[in-house]
Amino acid sequence: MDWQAFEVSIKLALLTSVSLFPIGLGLAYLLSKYNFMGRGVLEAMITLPLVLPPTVLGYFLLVGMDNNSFLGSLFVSLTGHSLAFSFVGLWFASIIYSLPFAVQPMLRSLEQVAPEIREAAWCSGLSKWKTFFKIELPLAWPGIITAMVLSFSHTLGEFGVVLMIGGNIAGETRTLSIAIYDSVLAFEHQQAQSMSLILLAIALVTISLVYTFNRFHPSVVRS
Amino acid sequence: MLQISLQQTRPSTLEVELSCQSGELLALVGPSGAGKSTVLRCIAGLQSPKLGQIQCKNQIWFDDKSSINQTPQQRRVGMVFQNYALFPHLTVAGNIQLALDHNKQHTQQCVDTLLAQVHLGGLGQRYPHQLSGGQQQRVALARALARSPKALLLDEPFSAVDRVTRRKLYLELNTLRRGLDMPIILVTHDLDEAAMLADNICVIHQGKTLQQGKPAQVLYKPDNAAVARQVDVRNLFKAKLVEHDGQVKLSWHDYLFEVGSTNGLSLNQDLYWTLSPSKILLHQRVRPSHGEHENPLTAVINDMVTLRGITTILMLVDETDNTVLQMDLPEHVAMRNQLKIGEMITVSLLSEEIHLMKE
Amino acid sequence: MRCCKYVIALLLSCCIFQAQANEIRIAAAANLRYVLPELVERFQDLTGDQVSVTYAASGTLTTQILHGAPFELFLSANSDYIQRLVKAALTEGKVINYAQAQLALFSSHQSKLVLDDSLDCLKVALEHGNLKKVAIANPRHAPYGQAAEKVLRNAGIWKQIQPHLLIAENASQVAQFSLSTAADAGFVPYAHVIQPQLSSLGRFIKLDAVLQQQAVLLRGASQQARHFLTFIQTIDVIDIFTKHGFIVSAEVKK
Repeated sequence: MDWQAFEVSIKLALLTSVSLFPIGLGLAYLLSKYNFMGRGVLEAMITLPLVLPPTVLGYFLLVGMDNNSFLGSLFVSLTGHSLAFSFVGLWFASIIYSLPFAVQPMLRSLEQVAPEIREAAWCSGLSKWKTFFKIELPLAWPGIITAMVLSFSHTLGEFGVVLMIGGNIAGETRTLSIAIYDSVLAFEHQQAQSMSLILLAIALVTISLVYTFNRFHPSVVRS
Repeated sequence: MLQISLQQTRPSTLEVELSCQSGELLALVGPSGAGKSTVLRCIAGLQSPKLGQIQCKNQIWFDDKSSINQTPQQRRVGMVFQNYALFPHLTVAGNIQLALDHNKQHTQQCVDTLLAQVHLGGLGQRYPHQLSGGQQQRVALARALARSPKALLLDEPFSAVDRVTRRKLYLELNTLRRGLDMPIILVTHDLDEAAMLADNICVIHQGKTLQQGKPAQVLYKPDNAAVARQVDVRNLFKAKLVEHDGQVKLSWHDYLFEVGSTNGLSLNQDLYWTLSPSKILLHQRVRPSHGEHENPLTAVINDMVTLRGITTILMLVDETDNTVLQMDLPEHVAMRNQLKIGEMITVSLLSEEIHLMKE
Repeated sequence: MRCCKYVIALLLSCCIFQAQANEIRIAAAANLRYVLPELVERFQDLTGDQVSVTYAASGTLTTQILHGAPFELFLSANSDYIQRLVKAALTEGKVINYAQAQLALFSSHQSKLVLDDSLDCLKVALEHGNLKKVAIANPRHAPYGQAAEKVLRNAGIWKQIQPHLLIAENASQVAQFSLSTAADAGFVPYAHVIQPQLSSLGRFIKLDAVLQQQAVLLRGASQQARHFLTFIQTIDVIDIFTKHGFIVSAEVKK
């Protein structure tokens, strides 16, 4: 059992889901409220990681995080380290990889809040921001919780992208899924099995929690 | 005083002129899709027309010429939505509290006062989904009033409740509004509701306001036939004014009627006339009267419908190609005269009550 | 409905056709990616038999064969994996040492390292603290990774270089990592590095390490497969192996 890899995986999944809270919410809010030109393209781009093979994503991330790229060189100038093959690089990749899992549930639950409720809040004197924080967010939070949990689990299970751009560095980019793969290739089946069972258990628990929570949460969204 | 003037052609037509004094209730009536809710939303600031002016108590809320367009928050309107739009995650008290000014002291007291005003005292801690339709409507009203609004806007607030509750709410609103010093605009498609509650009625059709006036005026003496059709006037017929024996008379089929006033219309012009069903006199067999000489005609009873003590008689008037004329009688009069379907009767049309109008 | 029948007939005929194709199915380690096609071409010209090759990491191929993949001949990059198959009684006949593969140290043009075969360049860079990443194949399961580890241990820098290692899943990925601007060097198969695609992008030096390439027939192998195994041990193909950076041992069957 590679506890270091376990720690890397958990750390990555937590950081990614926490980062996706403002990013996902911002994008979901934008898409739910405004009908602008290019909206369809934006939605499609957000959904891309869902349909593209991880190898395609991995390829573009490799190119995009290289020290000579815009992002890579910026990172080097700021920190002195390369973005490629680093935990930060993996974090960045995971945000893109799990983005649709954060945006979709949040968008659905924001859309469920009837427009009249927002308008009633405005007529009651609440500014647009106050309306968002006091009315829309509390009503949409089941979807937000679902989004957070899903992006956590999805990041935990990330493999193809990590394989391509991680570099398998112990304590930094060797995640549990990579460790499992390595164990299988090295014919260490006992290790592979125990690590796989742990990942399976975590995934099962988190997904069950989401479904149970959604079932018992009183549906008070529509007035 | 609330004054509104709106014009636009896209995305929907709007040609609206209406005004409402403080303390007055104006009913905006029209069929579905007439644009009533659009007008209300424009007043509230939830929608902006292309052109126009909205002024309330000497404050300009919207003026396309000076590019003024205040937000709903700035305008201070109290709006009751059709489905109430209560905040489901807050209690009744929470809903109302949100609309109160933050610098107001004694918020709890204010909330209690408002709840008492709408007869919901003691229900402050309930959640909207625990209330009946009528109770929810009252909360929506209390929340709108909590804002200390400059105008109160009601968007078909009674359409979602049953008839019995509706009657109760009408009476409550009537009492409540006497103490409100602000213009109140009520949007409804129910003419009876408008007649009962409103000081003034404004008829709107396909985005255009057709007539604004007192209910008696609008409902029984509409400006023109277009309005007449909107307010569901019964007995609407085409006719002409002609000269006969030195007098101006109304020529309808082969009949010549005396009319109280020509309403400024000229001879030989196509016009419409209407007469309220309650202003037709039955020539009673039991007790004849003088009125029988006024605009008499004969007809055959085609149908009789009694509702809440009023009998409506649909009769086919002789020599008019079976045109239907409607007459309302108290039920006991119909019974006493033993009226039956298929019987011939004679009636008089009260000349003072015949209302003439153009198309 | 008629269309359906035609489609089914077409699919069936394809299957039958496939079965009658009689291709020799070979599982080959990834480092043979450049040398094997030439060998196959010469074999096909000589005998007229068709050959189909699957390239993958030796470990991956071994797992597949253990789970019943229908290969007839396995060309591995080391001996350990062959032994596993022998132990599982999935092989036929003797294990053949048909060639030796070599290891190279490669640096892309962006790297400032001056390469030498005793790895002093790495030692110096480590001491000065300006060594970027160094790519190796995963020593846990990849033959080239194990060879690279041996070289690094011999140079006495295995422990120090740990934080700088970029671990690739297979020998091909090492080359790819080595080209990244984040890496200073990589331990790449010599057979890959001499190919123009890679040699034009950097510089390399051959290292003192050999990987014994072993081959074995798998249970149920066809006669044609046996011919191929014999073929790659003949003198006629020595030139092809040498051209691609492999060392052919003196024991060669005619």
